[in-house]
Amino acid sequence: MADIKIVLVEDDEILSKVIKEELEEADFKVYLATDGEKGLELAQEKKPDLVLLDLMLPKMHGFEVLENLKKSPETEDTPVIILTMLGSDDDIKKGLKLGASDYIVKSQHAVGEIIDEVKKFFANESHPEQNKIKEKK
Amino acid sequence: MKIKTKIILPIILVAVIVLSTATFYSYFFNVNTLNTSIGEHLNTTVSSRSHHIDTFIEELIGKIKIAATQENLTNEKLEKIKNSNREFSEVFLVNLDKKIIKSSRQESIGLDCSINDYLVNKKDNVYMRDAYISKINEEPSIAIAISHNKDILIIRINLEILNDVTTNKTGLGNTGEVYLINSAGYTITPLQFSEDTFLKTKIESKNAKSCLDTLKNETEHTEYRGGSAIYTNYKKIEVMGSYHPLSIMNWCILAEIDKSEALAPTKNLLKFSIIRILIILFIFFILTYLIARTISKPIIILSQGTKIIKNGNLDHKVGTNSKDEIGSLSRDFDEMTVAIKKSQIEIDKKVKEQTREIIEKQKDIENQQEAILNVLEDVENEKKKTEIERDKIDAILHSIGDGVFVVDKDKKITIFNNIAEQISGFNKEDVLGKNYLDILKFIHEKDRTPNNDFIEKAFSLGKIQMMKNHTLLIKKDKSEVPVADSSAPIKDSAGNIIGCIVVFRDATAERKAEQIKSDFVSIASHQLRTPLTGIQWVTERLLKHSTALPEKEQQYIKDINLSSKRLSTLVDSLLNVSRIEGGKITIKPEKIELIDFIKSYLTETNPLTEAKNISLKFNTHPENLEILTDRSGIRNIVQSLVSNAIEYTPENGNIEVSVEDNVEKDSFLFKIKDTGIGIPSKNQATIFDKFTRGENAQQVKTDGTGFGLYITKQTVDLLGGKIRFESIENEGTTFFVTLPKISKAKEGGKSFV
Repeated sequence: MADIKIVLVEDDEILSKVIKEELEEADFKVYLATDGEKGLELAQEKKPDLVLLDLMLPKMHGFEVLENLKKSPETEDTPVIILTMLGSDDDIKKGLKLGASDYIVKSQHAVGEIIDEVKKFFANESHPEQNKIKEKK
Repeated sequence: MKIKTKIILPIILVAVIVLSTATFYSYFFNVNTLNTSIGEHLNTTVSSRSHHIDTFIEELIGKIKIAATQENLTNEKLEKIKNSNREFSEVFLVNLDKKIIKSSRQESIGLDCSINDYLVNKKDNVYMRDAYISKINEEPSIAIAISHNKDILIIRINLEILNDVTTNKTGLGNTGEVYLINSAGYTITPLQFSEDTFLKTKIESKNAKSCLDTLKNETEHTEYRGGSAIYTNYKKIEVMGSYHPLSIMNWCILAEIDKSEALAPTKNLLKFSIIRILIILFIFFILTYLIARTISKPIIILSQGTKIIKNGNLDHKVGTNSKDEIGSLSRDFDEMTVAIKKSQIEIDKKVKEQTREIIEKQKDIENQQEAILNVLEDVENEKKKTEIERDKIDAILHSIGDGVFVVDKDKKITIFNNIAEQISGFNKEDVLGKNYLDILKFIHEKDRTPNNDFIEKAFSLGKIQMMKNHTLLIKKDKSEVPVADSSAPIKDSAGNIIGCIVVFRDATAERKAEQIKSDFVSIASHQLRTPLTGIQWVTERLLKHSTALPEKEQQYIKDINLSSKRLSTLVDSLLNVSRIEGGKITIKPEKIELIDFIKSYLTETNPLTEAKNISLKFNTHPENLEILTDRSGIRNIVQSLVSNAIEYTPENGNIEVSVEDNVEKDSFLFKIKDTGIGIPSKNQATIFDKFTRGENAQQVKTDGTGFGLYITKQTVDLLGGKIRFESIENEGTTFFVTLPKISKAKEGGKSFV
C-alpha cells in the first residue's frame, strides 16, 4: 500500500506523530503539515489519495484549506477526511457541505481505530455513496 | 258634537229627504197631469172644430147637390142660389170648353175656368177645389163643383167664413191659436201673430208634418183621436199642440198654446212646494229642538255635576227629578259619590295610619344609621391602622432589592415596587389595576413563547414556583431583559389563594456569567482533550510496541491509559452538563434499531463483566424495535445506566437488561436490574441531582463526579421520556426508563458528547 499517499494536516506534535507512525506502519505514504498553509501546499503539490485535515490549525483554518482544495480543479477530486476534537454538529455539517468525504472525532477513538477508519475508507473508495456521516461510537 | 245636535241633525236630515222626495214627486205628478189635461183640452178643441168644419163642408156638398137638381139654370137662378147662402161668393156654370157660360155674376161669363184644379178632392160626385185666392175679388176662397147635365156647376165660397171657427180662442189663453193648413202645408186661416198669411206661410212644425203624413197614408178617417205634443212651432217657440186631419179637404187643423203659458201653473206649484217644505221644516226643527232639549237637559246637568264632583266637591248632588233612565242614572251617581266619599274617608284614615308607621320606621332607620356610622368610625380607625400597616409593608416591598409585584386573584396588579419599575420600564401608573398578562410579558428566551407558568402554577398549585431558566421580560420600550426568580401564592387565614407575589431580578449579569462559564467549559474541555488524547494514543502505542517490558511496567502504562480515559470521560460529562444547562443541546432524531444498538453496546462491556464475574442478561420481547431518536442521547442513557450497574454490583452479581414494547402508547420501556449496593433511602430523593451520589457509592468508587444520573435524567427529559427507580440498600436497584419511540427534534445547539 506504499503507493497510497496521505497528507496529514495536524498541528499537535504528539498527535501528528502518533497518527503518522501508525499510518506508516500500515504502509501508507504520509506527508505531514503542521499548519493550514503548509497543508494546502502539500495537498496541491503531492496530489495525495487522501487528506486528513484537522480544523483548529495555525495560519489557516481547516475549513479554508478545504475550500481552497475544492475550488481548484486540480485538487477538487482529492478526498478529505476531517479530524476534529469534539462532536460538533455545526462543524461536521459545515465540513461535509464544503466537500469533505467523512469525519473522525479524535478524542472518541483509540488511534488504532482511526487507522482502521482510513483503511475502511480506501476499501470502500470504489463505492462513492459510502461517503456519508460516520456513526460515532 | 252635542247631544242636542246629535238628535236634531238626523231628524231634520230625514225630514228633508222625505219631504223633498214627496214634494218633488207630487210636483212632477202635477206637471204630468197638467200636461195631460192641456193635451186633452187641445185634442178636444181640434176635434170639435174639425167636426164643425166637416159639418160645414158636408152642408156645402148638400147644398150644391140640391142646386144641381134644378133644371135650366139661368143666371137669375144662379144669383138666387148665391143670395140664399151668405157664404156663397159666386155660383156659375162652366162648359166642357172650360168657359163660364152662366154666372150669378154677369162679368164672369165668358171667362176661362181651370177645371183641373177641382180634381183634387171628391166626395159623393162633388169635387172640391183647395183654398185659393179668387182672381175676381181677390178673396180667399174654396170652390166645389158638380156636373150639371153637360156642364159643371161651381160654387165659390168665401173662406173667411171659417175664420170664425179658427179665431175663437175660448180656453186657449193668451198665446193659444187654432189654424188650418192645406195639403201643401200652407196656412189658409189667419195666424194670430202674423198678418196676410193666406197661402203664404208654410207650416213645417212637427204636428203639421204628422198630420199631413196621416192624410197621405190613410184614405178614410172616420174617427181620429188626434195627438198632442210639445214642439217648436212656426214662431220658433216651444208650444204644446194638437192636430186633427180634415180628410174631405185634405186639410189639417192645428191648435197650439205656448208652453210657458201652458205650464205657468206648475211654476207656482213649485214655488208653493218649496215654501211648504220650509214651513214644515221650521216646525219640525222647533219640535225636535224642544225634544232634544228635554232629553239633553238632564244629561247636561249630570255632566256639570260630574265636573263639580271631579273638582273635589263630593257633597254636590246632581239629583234630577226626571223619572226616565237618565234621572235614575243621576240618582245612582249621587249614591256613588256618597260611597266614594265614604271610602275616601276610610282611605284617608289608612293613609294617616301608614304615614305614622312610616315615620316610626324612619326613626328606627335613623337610629340604625347612627349605629352604622359609629361602626364605620370604628372601621375607619381600623382602616387607618391597616393603612399604616400597609404603608409599612409597602415600604418594605419597595425597599427590597429585587423587583416585586403582587397580583390579586383576578390577576390584577396591586403592588409594583420601585425595582420592578426599573427592570420593566413600566411605571406604577402603567400597571396598577391591570391584568398582569396584558402588561408584563414573560417569554422563553429560546422559542419566545409565553412563560407565565410559574405565576399561573403558583395560583393553581398554591406552591412557590421557580421561574424557568432563560426567561425574558419584554420591557415597556419593547427591549428584552433576562429575568430570574420565583412566584409565591398569597393565602388568607383560611388558606384560600387570594393572590400571588412575584419576585424577579435582572439576570443580565447572571446570564453573562453563565455564558462565560459555558464558553470556559467548552474551551477548557477542548484544550484538555488534545493532551489527553495524546496520552491515550501514546500509551496505546507504548503497549503495542513494548511487549518486552516487564508485566509491572506494562500495568503502569495501562493505568496511565485508563486514567486518561477517565479524565476524558469526566471532561465529556462536564461538557454535557454545560450544554444541558446552557439549553444548548440538539436533539436530532434518526432511525435506530434499538435491540441491535443495545446488544452491540453490551458486547463492548464484556471485558468489564467478565473481570467481576457478573452475569449480564439481556431479555427482550421484541426481536426488533425501530425507533426514531437522538443517537447520542440514547447512547448516553444506556451507557450511563449499564456502566453504573456494572460499577456498583459486587463480584458474582447479576444484571438483567430488558426492553418492552408499549404499542399502545407508542413508547418502550428500558429496564435494568442489578444486585448492587442499592441507593440508600435518604439519598433517593436527590439521586438525580447534580453532584449527588449515594453515600455507599462513595465508598465503592471514590472518583465519581455525581454527574452521571443527573445527565441521564436530563437526557431522558430532553427525549420526552421518564425515568424512575426502585432500590433497596444492599439488595439492588432497578431503573425504569420509558421513552417515546419518536422523539421531537430540537435545534440550536450541539449534540451530546
